Amino acid sequence: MTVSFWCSAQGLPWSWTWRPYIGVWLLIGSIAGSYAYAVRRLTPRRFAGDDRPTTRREILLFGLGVLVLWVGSDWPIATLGAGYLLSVKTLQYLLFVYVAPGLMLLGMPRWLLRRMIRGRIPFRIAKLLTRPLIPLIVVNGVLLGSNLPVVVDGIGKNQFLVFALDITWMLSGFILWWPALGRLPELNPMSYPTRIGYLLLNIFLPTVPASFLTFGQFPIYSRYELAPRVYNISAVTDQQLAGITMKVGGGLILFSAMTAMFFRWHRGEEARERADEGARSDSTT
Amino acid sequence: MFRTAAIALAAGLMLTGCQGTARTGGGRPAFRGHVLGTPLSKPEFTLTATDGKPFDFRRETDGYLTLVYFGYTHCPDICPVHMANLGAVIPQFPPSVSDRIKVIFITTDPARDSLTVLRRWLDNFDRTFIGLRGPIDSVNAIQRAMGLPEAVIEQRDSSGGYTVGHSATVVAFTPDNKERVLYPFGTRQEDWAHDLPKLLKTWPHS
Repeated sequence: MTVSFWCSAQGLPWSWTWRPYIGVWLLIGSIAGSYAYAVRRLTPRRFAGDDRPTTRREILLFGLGVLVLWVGSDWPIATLGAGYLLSVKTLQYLLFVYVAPGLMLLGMPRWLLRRMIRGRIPFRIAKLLTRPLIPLIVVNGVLLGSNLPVVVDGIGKNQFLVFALDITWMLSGFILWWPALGRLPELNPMSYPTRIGYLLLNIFLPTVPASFLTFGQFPIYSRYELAPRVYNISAVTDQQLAGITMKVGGGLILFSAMTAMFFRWHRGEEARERADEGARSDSTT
Repeated sequence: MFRTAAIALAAGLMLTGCQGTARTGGGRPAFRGHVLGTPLSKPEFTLTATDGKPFDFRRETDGYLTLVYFGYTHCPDICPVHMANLGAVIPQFPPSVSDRIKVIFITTDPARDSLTVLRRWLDNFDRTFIGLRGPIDSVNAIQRAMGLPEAVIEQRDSSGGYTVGHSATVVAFTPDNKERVLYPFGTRQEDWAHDLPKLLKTWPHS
């Protein structure tokens, strides 16, 4: 059995033989370990403002995010995505960008986020990324760039380049969700309607690469066209599945988040109206 | 497997005196395959087709753009990719082009590739692909005649399975019955889409 740092295209026929990737375990272990250390050892003794102790829900969400990250970066999803099926590589993208970072950010208590952006430069970066323009450019730039044939075909066999791309995807996922979740009030997060609009833009922009994949007459990437076939799935069918996964899968995830935000906003507005009415009736009696 | 294929391709190209990719005046390649400097004549041989009938290669393919590939159905990588790519591209041509192309797969593993196995495997790619089977000595002689190296049994595993080292090249015979262009592994669907109609036009049936 070959042990590798990270997974890459091998050109071997596909088999369900397990393959270990040391780098994946190190990454996942260090993320989970750092979180556990922070929650156990770094939790403040006193909480000020809206800070509060880490809840079970937060631990669960963070754990779920790490689990998604692990599933996406380890065998078999990573192996299939690296050298066999573009559709699985696209699924991996969704897990790395649309699912895991959002869960992990929701799972980080505010005191921890505040500690992470302590210092002038980290705070300024965090504030800058709370505005939608830079995240929109970065996230969609990474998406478009990493779908260029020269990139997809060029990095296939080099595990360190695949690792670099995977890490870039994960970081772009945090950048995607940071303004949408708006966890810290001191960074002046966007209003809910603006956040919904921001996510809506992130649904529309990936339509461009998704359309190329879905409606391409021939396979775009030699890496997947010339790969040993898996269950006789043709290269074009695989490419169409990738396009649909990106468009429909990505759209559904972001749409679900938009729906949740809408209801949260609606509840907030209702509560405010009730409070206003209460105040008015108090003043008239 | 890939090493053998690469050696086989190199040997094949040397044997046939390959000229490389032909270019137009503007410097862009006229064909995506490797055009032979001196075309070879179409060999004469008869093997058994998957319907059990004798297949006279020269007579049956006369005037067609004929793509010949030597491989085997247990091939884990190159053969299915070549066949899948051809099977994906040829049906996209108008009938005036696709009806003038014949794809012929000659097994280099007659021990395991019965006519039924061969037919079932080819049907995964295209029902019109022609499968031929014959004694391995005859198949090797045909490969030599086409300037390709002979197939060799490479590795045997404990269960008795084995791989066959063979040329990874698709040989194109133009309608004038000459072997003119070789397509190595790595030829993509868009390359086939570019070359096949051009081959029909450039060297029509004389």
